[in-house]
Amino acid sequence: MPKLENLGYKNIFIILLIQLFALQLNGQNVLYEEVSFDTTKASTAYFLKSIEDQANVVFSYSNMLCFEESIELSRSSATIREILNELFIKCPSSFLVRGNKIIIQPYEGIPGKHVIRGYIRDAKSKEALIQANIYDEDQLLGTVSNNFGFYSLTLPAGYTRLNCSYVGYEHQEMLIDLQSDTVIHFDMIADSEIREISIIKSKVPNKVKSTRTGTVDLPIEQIKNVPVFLGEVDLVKSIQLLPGIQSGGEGLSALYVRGGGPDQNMVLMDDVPVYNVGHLLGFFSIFNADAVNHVSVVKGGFPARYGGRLSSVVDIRMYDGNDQEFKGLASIGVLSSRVAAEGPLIKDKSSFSVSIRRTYMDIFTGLLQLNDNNKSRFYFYDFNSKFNLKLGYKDRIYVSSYLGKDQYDLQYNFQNIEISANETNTSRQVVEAYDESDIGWKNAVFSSRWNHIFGEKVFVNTTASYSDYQFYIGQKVNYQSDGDWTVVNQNYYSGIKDYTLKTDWDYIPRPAHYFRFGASLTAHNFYPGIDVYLQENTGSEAIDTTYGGNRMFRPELRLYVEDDFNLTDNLRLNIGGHFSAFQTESKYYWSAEPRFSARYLINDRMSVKAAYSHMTQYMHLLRTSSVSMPTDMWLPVSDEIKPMRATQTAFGWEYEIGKGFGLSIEAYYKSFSDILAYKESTSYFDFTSDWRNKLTAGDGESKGIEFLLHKKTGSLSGWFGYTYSKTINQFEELNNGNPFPADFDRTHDASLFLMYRFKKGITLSGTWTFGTGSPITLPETKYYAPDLPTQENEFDTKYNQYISERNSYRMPNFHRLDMGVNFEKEKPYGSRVWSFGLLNAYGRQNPFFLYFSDTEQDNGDIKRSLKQFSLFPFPIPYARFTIQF
Amino acid sequence: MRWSIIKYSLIVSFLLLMLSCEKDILIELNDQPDKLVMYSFIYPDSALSLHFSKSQSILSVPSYKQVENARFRISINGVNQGTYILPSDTVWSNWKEFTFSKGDDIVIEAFEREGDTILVESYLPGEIPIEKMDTSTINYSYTDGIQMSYLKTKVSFSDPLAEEDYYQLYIIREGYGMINNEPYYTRDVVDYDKDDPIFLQKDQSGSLLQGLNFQGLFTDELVNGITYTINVNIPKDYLFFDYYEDKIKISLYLYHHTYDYYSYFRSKVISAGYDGFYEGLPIFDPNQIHNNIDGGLGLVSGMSFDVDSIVLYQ
Repeated sequence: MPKLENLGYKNIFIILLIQLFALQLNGQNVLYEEVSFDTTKASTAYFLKSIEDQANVVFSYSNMLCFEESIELSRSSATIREILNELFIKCPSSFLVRGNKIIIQPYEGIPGKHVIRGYIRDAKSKEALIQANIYDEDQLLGTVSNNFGFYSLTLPAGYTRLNCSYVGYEHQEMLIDLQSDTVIHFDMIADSEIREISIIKSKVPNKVKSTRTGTVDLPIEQIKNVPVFLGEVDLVKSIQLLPGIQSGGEGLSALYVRGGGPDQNMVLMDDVPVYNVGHLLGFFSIFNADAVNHVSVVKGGFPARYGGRLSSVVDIRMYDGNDQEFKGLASIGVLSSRVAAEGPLIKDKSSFSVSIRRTYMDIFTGLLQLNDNNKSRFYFYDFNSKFNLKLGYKDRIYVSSYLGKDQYDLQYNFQNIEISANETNTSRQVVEAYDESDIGWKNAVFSSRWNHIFGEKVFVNTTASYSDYQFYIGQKVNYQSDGDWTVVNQNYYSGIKDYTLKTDWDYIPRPAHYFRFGASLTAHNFYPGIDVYLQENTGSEAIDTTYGGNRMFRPELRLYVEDDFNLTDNLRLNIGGHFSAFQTESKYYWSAEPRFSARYLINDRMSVKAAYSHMTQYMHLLRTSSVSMPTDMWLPVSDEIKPMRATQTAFGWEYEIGKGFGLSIEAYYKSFSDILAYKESTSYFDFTSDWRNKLTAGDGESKGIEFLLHKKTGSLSGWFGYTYSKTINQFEELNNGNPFPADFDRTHDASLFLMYRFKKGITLSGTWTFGTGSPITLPETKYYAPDLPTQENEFDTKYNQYISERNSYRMPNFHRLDMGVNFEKEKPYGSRVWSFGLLNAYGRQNPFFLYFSDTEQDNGDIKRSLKQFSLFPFPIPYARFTIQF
Repeated sequence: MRWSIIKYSLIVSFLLLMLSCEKDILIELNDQPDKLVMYSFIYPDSALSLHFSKSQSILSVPSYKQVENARFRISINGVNQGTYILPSDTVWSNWKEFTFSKGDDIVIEAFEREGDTILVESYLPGEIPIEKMDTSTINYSYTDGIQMSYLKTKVSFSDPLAEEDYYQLYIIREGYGMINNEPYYTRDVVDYDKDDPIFLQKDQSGSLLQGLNFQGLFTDELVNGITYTINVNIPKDYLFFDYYEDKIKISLYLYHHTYDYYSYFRSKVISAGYDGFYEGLPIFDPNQIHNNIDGGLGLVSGMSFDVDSIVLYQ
């Protein structure tokens, strides 16, 4: 039920509860039914009677209403509301629907306006519902909740039928007599909570929805049911199933969006950029779905508030925590276990949410290696925490953190070291020591945010954040010489640390406008490589040296302003501008980026869309290989290396089949300039060349058409996506200057995800994906390669390979079926879920990479052939057990 | 160890996944015409040695294909030296008719009868003298507890201004002795530590990450127009005499290369990777080998050197 706060204004009351109208709310307000007439010229009474006959409604009106003997309509068919507006244009009136009755009431003078504001939350978890629709159904005035669930809606005084709708939740409606500014919180009930009764649904009129070209919201419920490798719920893998987005390789967590590379995606975790989103070479993503509240993916039509990457924004919002009661979750899987807890710190005022996921293969390998002299282990973990505190009604503070790490280490040379007596220690000691090497990478993200509401219409979020991505290699060696014990630690670090101060303002002066503006200042600190050497010796002073890899401090400023507004009844625009500036060694780069998107309603279900955006990126990922390697390094633009830029134009058509069920087709054209690649005769491991000299800049273009049929609600939900696209790059210094398919060009890409929820807590899900094989560069010829007269070491091969054209071949097509089933059962303590699944159900051998290999035949001849290496070539089962309490 | 841990982590990760397989696949490779291939490394006061062959399908097992009825024409400093028939039954053909001096410009045109023609232009860079060489013995303690002794050697040279120069410091150990009144001779290439900044050029990213070994190649990027002293530590293992040796000669060659030789050499090292670890592993982008043959493939380059030696007697 909606929670209504009166703030001292006692003249607001609920006339009827939403349940009274349940039977009538059958998905469509009668005011938006189409009616038609034989003639366009007749009396007001004639038209009203005709509407009554066609729509099976009854009009109720006062004698104050202006009736005409003869009035001419502009068209012979339209919605009832449009006809009524024309009929009573001389005496503006409100139209209120009561069952099959439409009450027409003329306004007395110019009606005053009042603001309704509040938060939209999940009734059970009290989590903010983001992008929920709030609207007056009769007047078709509405808005959406922001990233904190806040909304503000200015409506004319008088009776208002306020609706709140969110995909996957029961629609709510309340009738109020709005006579003053009011606070109303909506606590929405999830569809899944309502098992025994039919769920009331209502389609949100398109007119009140915001313009969101190229944006897809993924329900968490669907993400959690996508079958994934070893049962590790992975939201990045779910995002990869959307049209226009590819994975780049079997099992990997990279995102390739509309022809862009994996470094062209801005992944925001509670407004803070995260630089590495993969664990274990990118086979698992870092996001623990138990801590995620909302995910939206923007791949085109970027609103002005986003900037800094060329191809996409993945906006992830974490759970705030339940401020009413304690809840928990524990889950055991093949690879990892997860624990999550949330609850109030001070009821109604403060709450927390924490979750941790950790792999435990190192525990098993540790047991197996108990008596070995070499011990190796690998693990990764994610830790999310969030605390929030309400400081009165208008202020709220959030503090959140994410810590994640991958660690592989090797312990060896276990030995007992005898330390000779010295001035401080008079007796000889024996110490057990071992040598150790480790490699790993870690993310740390901290943010504190302050929400403040100015007046009734301005919402401000101010964020201070810290993001740290670090890759490291370390080695510790013990040795003994003449009774002295020396420990030498050598460590190499590279990474990026950001300190950001950001403020975002939402100003909603009236339903037709939603202004956003803001600014951010980021202090980027790039560490391309720092070596630390520490030598501790029992017999002398410690030597501590740090050298190499100068820190590169690069400040970045961003400003934006955008307005989402109705230009006409049918045309809604989002227009904005984004300005950014970035300082390099000795110069500034800047960018003024126009952003535009428009949506034109053909009718209440059908719309066409257009968008244009210009994006600039001041940093790039220097990749080691085609898989995500810890040695991948984020580096800024420099005096010589210009920022990468992209412009994108998109056109779309959208048809809303029902609530949460839509069909969209979108075509895009995107051009890139100054994108970077390694030169043909260099490599990441060539440390003798400055990194700037190893790169070359070029241009690219991507074009495609995307089809998405997405059903977010109901027993059967899921989506089918298909993309036809072409991405071409051209570099002066690559491929003899000729254009070539981009590494991630995929002509056809299709994904089907289906999820069926049976009544008794059983959910069956499956995904099927198909993609044209990725481009690959293959040498076609080889030629003699002599020993060089001055070579120190012999080369393994006595021939060179000649590459005539880059990416001129394709790997075999990719397709795979994954299936999963969840058995959920209510228990006294809460519920438990058994999850089982089968990846690659029909055992397709998809290519991971191709290579040439020589094999000896039975007759002794050598045969050289092209081989395909496949990961997961057979059905792989998984199981997971989860309890919620 | 540092590199090996990257390597092991990769391997272990893949092994952990253990969920892989490989199989032959058939991809129709584009029919590329065979290209003519030529190699020659030209020294001052030496005869011409020439390799001539053809490229062939990547799926073939032999490394090269011989060419019948091939000819070449050579010009030295613009003077045509004549046209000659290339033998098809040898890998390298030797032409004592031609000798070269430093600074010579060389043009070689080779062609297959009724086939393709290739052309290459190169030159013989002048030698850069070693101005001074000093040695001393030092001991280093390494992190793994091993004490290492080195022959610390300083090699000074002056880089010419106003031109880009490409060098290589190449060290040879030769042992001399007698076995049963017969001369005994050994020759080894010295694998020395390339710690001098000249081998690393600009501020490298990650000196603890073991980079590729470019085998002593360097440019004048850091030393253009100045006199520079390279510090080289030669492991003392190379100074030990074997049973039959009674004299050891350590020779330090300062090679002066062309851009083409330097680039070819580097691209070969990059292509091979760490002892061939990532050669052919397609998670790394394949590298293109540098080539200076117009219309064909291969490398023709002149080079010169100066040498200084240390001689040790038992």
